Amino acid sequence: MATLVATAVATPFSNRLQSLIEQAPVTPLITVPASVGALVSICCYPLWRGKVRTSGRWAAAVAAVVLWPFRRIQWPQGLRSWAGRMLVPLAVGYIAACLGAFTGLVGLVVVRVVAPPGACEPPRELRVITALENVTALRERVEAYTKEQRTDGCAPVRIAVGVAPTIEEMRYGFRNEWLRDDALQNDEPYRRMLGLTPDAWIPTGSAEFDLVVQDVSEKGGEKTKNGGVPEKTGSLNSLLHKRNEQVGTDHMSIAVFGAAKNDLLTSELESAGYPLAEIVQRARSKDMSLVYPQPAFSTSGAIVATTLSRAGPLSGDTALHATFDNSANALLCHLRGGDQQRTDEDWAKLVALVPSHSADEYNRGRDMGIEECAHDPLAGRAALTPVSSVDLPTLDYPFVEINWSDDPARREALDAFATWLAHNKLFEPAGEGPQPSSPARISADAARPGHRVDLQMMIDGSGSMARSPTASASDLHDALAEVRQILTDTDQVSAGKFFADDSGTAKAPMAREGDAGGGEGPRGYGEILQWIVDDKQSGFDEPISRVISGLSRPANSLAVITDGGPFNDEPDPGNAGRSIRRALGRAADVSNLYILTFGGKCPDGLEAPRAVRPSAFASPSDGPPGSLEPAAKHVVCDDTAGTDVAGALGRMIFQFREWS
Amino acid sequence: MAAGPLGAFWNRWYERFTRFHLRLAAACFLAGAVFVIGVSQHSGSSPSQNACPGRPDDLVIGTGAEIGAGGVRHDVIKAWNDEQRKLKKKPLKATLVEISESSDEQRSELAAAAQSKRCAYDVLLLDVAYITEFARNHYLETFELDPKKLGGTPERYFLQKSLGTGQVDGERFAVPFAADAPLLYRRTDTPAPPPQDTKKFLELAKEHGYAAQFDDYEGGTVNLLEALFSAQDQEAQDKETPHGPVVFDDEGNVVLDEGDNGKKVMDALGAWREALFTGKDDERTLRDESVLREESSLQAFRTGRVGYMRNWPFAFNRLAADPLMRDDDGSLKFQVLSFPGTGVLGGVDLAIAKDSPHKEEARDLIYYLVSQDVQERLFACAGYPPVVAALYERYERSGAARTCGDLAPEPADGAALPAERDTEITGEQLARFAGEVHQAVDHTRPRPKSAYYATFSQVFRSCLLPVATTTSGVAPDFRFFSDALRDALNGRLRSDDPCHPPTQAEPKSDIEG
Repeated sequence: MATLVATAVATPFSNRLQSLIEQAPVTPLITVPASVGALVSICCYPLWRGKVRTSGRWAAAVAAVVLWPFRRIQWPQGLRSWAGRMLVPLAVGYIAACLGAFTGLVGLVVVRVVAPPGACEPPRELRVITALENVTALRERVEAYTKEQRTDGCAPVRIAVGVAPTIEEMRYGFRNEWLRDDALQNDEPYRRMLGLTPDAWIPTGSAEFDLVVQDVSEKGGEKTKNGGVPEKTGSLNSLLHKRNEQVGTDHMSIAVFGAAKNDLLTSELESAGYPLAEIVQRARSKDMSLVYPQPAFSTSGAIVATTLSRAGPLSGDTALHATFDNSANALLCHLRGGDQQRTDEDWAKLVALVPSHSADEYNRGRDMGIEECAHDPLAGRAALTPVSSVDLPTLDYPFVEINWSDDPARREALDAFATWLAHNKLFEPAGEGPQPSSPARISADAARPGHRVDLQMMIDGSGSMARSPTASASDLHDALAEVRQILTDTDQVSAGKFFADDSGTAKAPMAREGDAGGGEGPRGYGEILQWIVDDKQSGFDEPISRVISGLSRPANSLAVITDGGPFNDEPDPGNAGRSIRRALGRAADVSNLYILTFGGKCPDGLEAPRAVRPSAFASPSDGPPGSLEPAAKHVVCDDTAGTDVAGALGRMIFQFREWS
Repeated sequence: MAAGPLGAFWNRWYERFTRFHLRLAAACFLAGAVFVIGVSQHSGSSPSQNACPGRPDDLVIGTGAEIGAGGVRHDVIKAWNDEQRKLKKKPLKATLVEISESSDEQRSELAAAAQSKRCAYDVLLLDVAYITEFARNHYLETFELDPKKLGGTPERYFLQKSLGTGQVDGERFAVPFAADAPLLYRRTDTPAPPPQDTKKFLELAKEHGYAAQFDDYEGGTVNLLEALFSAQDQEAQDKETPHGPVVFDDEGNVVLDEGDNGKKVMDALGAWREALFTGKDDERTLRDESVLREESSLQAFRTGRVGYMRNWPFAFNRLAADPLMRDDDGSLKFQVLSFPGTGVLGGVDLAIAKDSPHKEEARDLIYYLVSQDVQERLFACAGYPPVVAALYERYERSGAARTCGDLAPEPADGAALPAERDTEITGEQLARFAGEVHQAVDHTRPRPKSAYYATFSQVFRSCLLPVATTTSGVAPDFRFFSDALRDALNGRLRSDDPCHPPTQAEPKSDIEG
């Protein structure tokens, strides 16, 4: 009974006592008295040799052994006599001081344990990043870990989970203080980070880590930005430390919607382990599309792209499509977004190549880490059945610590979390179906954008556009600087503005990359961006159809960025879409037109771009019946960008790549 | 004494023990105790560190991403750098580092930087919700405002409410940079009239649709607090009697379990729930527009799905520059009103990082950023509500409002053509906007001052959000809930459910109807 009572009384204090003991300044409390004692003993031993007789026999014996090296010291007689007098005061003082220190410590413990608890100590801030499709699982683990670590309700750490940027961005960011590779940082009064500066990073696979740390100098040495400022390049060995243990295990899967399950997942294919070539062949025969996230934005997309390229030509790849989505979750969210409009037949046309856990998360409902994607658990035609394939790889999830600063406490906290996470993994293998064994690989090419783009961006130079809250010159500059990551050295980019002056005359000043050879004009992307900001010319709305017709050196792909005002100035504003289509049809050199509208709405007759274009769906280039432009020309209009200018531009560029 | 050799030893010592030894023992005992206590106290505080290895010689401002403001902040910083180059031989270049669009990520990044002492930032642009946390955790330098540099006392120069946000435990750590208070946006192309008071507004909101932010995030806590503050003030207005606090008092002490405050909370949230739901009795369903966030609310309002929207002042510029929100004659299709009730005070403050190696320069930059000229430009061109009281007086004075065009530097000769006037915000519109913001700021209350506001927000929301947004939410045991909130204000999360209902025969509250 007494034990129970004592336990009950002590329990509320035990955590605080434990915390106090952990925080106690153990080192000085032990080392200072011990050092003082040792010093006094060493100094005094030669003085009091012979003074201790029978009573301290054992003490003398121990002292004689320990202090044997000092036996030969012969202090002067005067000093020995003085020390003899000091012997007792010194001993008394030392013992009293030790007793005092001990009493002080006990007093502190009692006061802190008995006193009511105050505010918690500030938790250590840790930041961990991972791919968007892993964020939900990681947040759940972080919550569980923080809960488990709480002492007396106080959390010792607070872990923020962020979305990892693309492989290319990380390659740059880890070498450049986690800043974006904005082309214009030379004299600009701002810089932009790649989100949270990570203390740890959980790549989707070791292959992603290898690609990011791959020595930049091996690929051509120091890069130079447009502004002439050299980027930091080279090894990341001292910055990134990959731990041995994995914190998750999963595999890429073929995720089939309920409506198509029986068509694709036959027993013959199952017994063969769902070989990819046969899956593709069967999908094609059933007029299905296998879709996966954009490889340049998504690691899982890059893994799929690499796997497909290593598998060789799959008898033509018309059934395979990379979408614009930046993660597997975004892809699935996108597919679910068309739920209301899709028929069973439409659902049956789509197959996703995504990590197995993404398909499970999709079926479970919730938001999948994307604000607009909240949904109820799914079943039936919209639910996914993920199956593994012998040809699709496994995904290991290593834990990578990043040592921005030499902070032992931070490293200790990270180690503790990593160890815990290795025992409470993000994902566990399901153990059903064929088990893929090959590890995921990512080729550097797969993680980069594909077809070369010859792009001309025509920016609305009207006054209303200049004051646009989302797509002003400054916003466009920032967004274009951001999407520079997805442009390659072979892409050709030019930019211009279009407007009418007060006499109604069309104006279209241009800045063209590569004009330097002629001795005039901008020399590269950076200068184009600077030109966009610096060029103060503006005027009135100019119809887009006139812009298309009036271009002197048009590129193959034309992007028009506007606030929607020019649609009202078309010859027949009610049929603005038709006017634009006709103008495009007449322009021999322009094959692709992508209109990006911020604020205003797209006119009737212009299709919206589609993120997923399975063959059963109408192609964006398929105009309404009776339209005049040749079928080979593409034209879309996007008015759904909101404030995400960079995202809209990125999707636009990938659309051009697909068309090119 | 004990017999034997040991006894003889102690006897000999005892014989030599004098009064002097006694005093000596007492002194050493005390010294030992004081030493331990001193070391123990000192071990809690971090050692000061002045070295900033690898730090670029810039004046670095850590801030969130500027969305839809047209890069005016960049322009302002650029102007500062130009000015410094004229004034000094070797000026420090001020550089904005935009961390993230997410307020949580900004907080986490700045806190982690402060803990790691890498001197990453000199000036922090901090949401007022986090000032107390950063101040109490010693991440911020104190900031004494100099009346000479402001041209008057701080109390006269700044909006009173905004000035209070930088004060923590009697010391100033931050200077207001942008004010923020909730506004009511009303579409004028729908038959949604301006509401007179909270009660009337709730009726109108049910009828015409209302975009609110009762989603499960910090904005949800703010919307809940505003519902409770508003009901409390409405009651006081109706009864014409002063009222006591319902959620927390002026010192930040939780008072939910005092008197009939629990019942008042349930009544208030019940009234708001009526406005957030559609249908009657068992057919009631929560409107999608009730549980949005700031950005999605803006889209719902813009596309005409609702007649009213609660949002912060940033939405004004966004809507005013949208051709869809303009009539053919260029007039606005919406009206801005101060929130019909009591709002929660928001805003952004400027503070100096404790480990900044450039504190004096940081101080100068802060005075520049809160100067009238800069504040006016940020307001007229980007919609940042100013914190300078005189600006509101000027804008509210008839004919004294200057537009962004008026403030823009003169273009080079012949470089610019006359711009369209269709979406430019006029002086009159700016004046009306300034008046409503001013009134809205005056009708706000601050969040509770705690280093653990985020924990408080999480617990508060977890229990009360279901009451406002579901038909099955039950009243928590307010005593237990209040204790959980008090713990949360100290950073403690309880392992048990803070929302459990009263155990005994207490009624389930009237939230069912």
